[in-house]
Amino acid sequence: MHVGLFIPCYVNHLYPQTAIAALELLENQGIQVSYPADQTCCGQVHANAGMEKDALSVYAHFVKVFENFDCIVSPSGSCTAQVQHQYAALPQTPAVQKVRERTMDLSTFLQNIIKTPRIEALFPHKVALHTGCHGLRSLGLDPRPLLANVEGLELISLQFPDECCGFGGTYAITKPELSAKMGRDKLADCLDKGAEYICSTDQSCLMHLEGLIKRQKLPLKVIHLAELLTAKP
Amino acid sequence: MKSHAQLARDFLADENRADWHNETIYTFRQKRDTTVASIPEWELMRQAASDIKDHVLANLDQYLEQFEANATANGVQVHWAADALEHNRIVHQILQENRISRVVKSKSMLTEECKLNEYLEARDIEVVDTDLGERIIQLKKEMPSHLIAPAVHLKREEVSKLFHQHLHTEKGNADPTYLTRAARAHLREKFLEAEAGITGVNFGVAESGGVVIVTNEGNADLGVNLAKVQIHCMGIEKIIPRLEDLGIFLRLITPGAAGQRTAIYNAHYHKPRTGTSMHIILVDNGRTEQLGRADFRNSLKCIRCAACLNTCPVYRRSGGHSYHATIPGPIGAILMPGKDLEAYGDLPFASTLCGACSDVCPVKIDIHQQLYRWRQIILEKQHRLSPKKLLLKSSLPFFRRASSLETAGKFMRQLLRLIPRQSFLHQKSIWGLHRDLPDAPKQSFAAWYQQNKAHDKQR
Amino acid sequence: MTSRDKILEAIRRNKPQVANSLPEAINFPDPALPPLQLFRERSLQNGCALIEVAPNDWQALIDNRYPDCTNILSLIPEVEGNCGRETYGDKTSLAQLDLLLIKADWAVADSGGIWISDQRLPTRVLPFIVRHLLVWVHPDNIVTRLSDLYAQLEPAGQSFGILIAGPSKTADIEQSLVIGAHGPLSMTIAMPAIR
Ligand code: SF4
Repeated sequence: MHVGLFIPCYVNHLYPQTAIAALELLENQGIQVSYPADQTCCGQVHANAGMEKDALSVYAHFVKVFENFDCIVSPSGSCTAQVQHQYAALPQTPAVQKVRERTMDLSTFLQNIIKTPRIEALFPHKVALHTGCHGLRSLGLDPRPLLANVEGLELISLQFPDECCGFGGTYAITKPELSAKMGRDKLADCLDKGAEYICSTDQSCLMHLEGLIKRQKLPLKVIHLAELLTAKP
Repeated sequence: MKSHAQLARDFLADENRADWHNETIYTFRQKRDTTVASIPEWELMRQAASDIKDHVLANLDQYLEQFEANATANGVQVHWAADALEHNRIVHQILQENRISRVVKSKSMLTEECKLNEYLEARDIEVVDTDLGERIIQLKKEMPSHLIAPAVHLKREEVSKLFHQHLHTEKGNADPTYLTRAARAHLREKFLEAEAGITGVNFGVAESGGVVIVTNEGNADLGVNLAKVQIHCMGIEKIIPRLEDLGIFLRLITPGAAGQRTAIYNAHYHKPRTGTSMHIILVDNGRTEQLGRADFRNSLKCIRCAACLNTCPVYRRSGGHSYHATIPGPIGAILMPGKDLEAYGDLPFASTLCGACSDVCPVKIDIHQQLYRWRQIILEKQHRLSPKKLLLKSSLPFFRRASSLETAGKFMRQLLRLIPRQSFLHQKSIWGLHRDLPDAPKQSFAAWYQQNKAHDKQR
Repeated sequence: MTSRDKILEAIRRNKPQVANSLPEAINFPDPALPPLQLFRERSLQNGCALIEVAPNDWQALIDNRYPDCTNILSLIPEVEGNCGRETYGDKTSLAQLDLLLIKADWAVADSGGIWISDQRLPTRVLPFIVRHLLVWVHPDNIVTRLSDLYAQLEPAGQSFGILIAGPSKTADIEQSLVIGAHGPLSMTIAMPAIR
């Protein structure tokens, strides 16, 4: 099996360590993984802002880059959902259909394709899990069984487990007050429950939450699921 | 008019109050979750209800004709109103013909939509809203902020002040039971005086020609059954084919609001009482237009249960009035643009597209997908190039070529590193106002990969 | 063109061209409890009181349970009451009714509600205007769920019917539940005493 690693654009530029962790995690499963250098973005930011027509060329580019892989794996539920669902707006050529079917979130790939993944991680901390909304509702992600493989990890239950963190792509920019309020509430929930870390399937949620944490100097850290599943002492 | 973003900002300015609102409404949501979890057939009923409504929308003309024929045979007078004005005129005419100047009305989003109260009051008719929450906001001269709990945005002290002023209750007594009893006594008089009772309609049954009205307080039934004229205002989309369909819909409509398994009163009106008259007004007011929009027509399946409002993280933290519309919340955000795109074009953006609304909708409306689709239409129509649109447009070429995106990213990271943390970008930009910007790593993943991995792969 | 024709014409023009058929009736799973037990549980949850009455106990029951009810209208043969037909047409007398005793046509276990049709009501406003409501439910008339009730009703010839599931209530002031909004302040379900 040849897996194409799809790294969301902002992760590529701002969070290379998440991408490196995702790559390492996949390689640990003993499969062939490649990162096609000509990939750019899934087109979600434009489409959700109301510019789907403009984004179609970005979609088409994505399909061209990834059409020859057996699986396309991404450490982002949100970008995965975008490809799986919103690429319905493209003419449904065999290539498009194939790419839509084969694109999946990293956790889904580990749970459903690899089934019993090799995970050797040590993370002796209290962790709250925040599954990004698109991952949670459009893809039905539940990475909790994966976390069970992490030594020392204590999973904290949140009071409002499925509440949106308020990022929402351009929403974070166009509605800053509401977006920040939702984020602060999410963090308050984590702190109330005694979490040291908040772990997410989406780095975008974490970018927003980390910004809030740092501004308010809260005793909380963020970590992407891929990093958590490769954490070493 | 202020946009949702501005109104939400105003609402959030009093953060304690916003928190109170959020928590109050989250309690509704939790109750809904608990009740729904205890109904094993919930998903079966949801699917059936959705299918029935789809079927009705595709045969709406026939069902309306069947409904009209059966209602007429029952001795009911059926009227048709193309728009709000015609609806108001019909109500007024019925009242005039019967020389009626005092009316009690139970909760109806349709009459809100048509602004019936204003119309009748301008013609010297007293209209008293009898649902407690509706009465509160009527006295306060406000719009409802929620589909089921119209005064949910008010605190008990505010109600106490209002009642002291209008109903002469004890100053400072904010006990909900005391206030409710005072309203009961006040409205009892109104019920006994009124000559007509107006209600909304939850369901119109085609095969039997009757209307079903769902309430908890008993106000609709008191109003209608004490008056000599009863008027039921009904959107044309409220039709269901058969009496037996109520066995599903009546069970789906209540949990969304506050987890009730059933309403206290589900009243089935088919024939007028002897010596009185019964009218049903079928109202279009934009519904047939919405039916013509393939991408949005299934918003007409809505049974106004309020589940989508209660679950919406934005609604809970911005309040119903921030939607500046008759129908607030996620469902309002997909219905209102169909009525006036200019006035309500901001609403589809009042969402993070988290999808919680679609998940709870008992008739399976794809609410967040419709928000997405409205966004496409709105941006398309937007002639003026907003800064957001300009930025997104000009960024497009970068997203089609990895090398340009790589260069742009590098530039951005340098910028992030070079600009001092105390600068405008870090502190005062729309991101920086509330959040720190991310630290910029030296290298992108693509560059790292090129350096560390690409060679192994080529070998 | 009349508005009626305009609306119907617009619907024909705008409705989806392909229609799905109505879904099959749902095959409901059995509830966890037998109907009688479920009904008792649910009506209690709705805020009703539950009592059992033996045929000879009615008068004592009313004396004990409703000591301050002066105007009593009874529509069940076991109890006489002291208000009659003269009440029906007069709003003021209606408004002074303290207690109504009435027999339910059906009861629905799953919702804890009861169904009363026009035939039992000399005037429709009765169950809404009284201060206290007592409903006689025979266990044989309890159906499992709402769809079973509708299976008993004939669509043609319906006049008026009401499903009542407890005393009137509201939570419109700061979501505090208040029992007794505009309708009755209390509702009692009476069933035959088990010997
Ligand atoms: S859209 Fe669905 S969830 Fe929202 S009010 Fe209507 S029926 Fe309820």
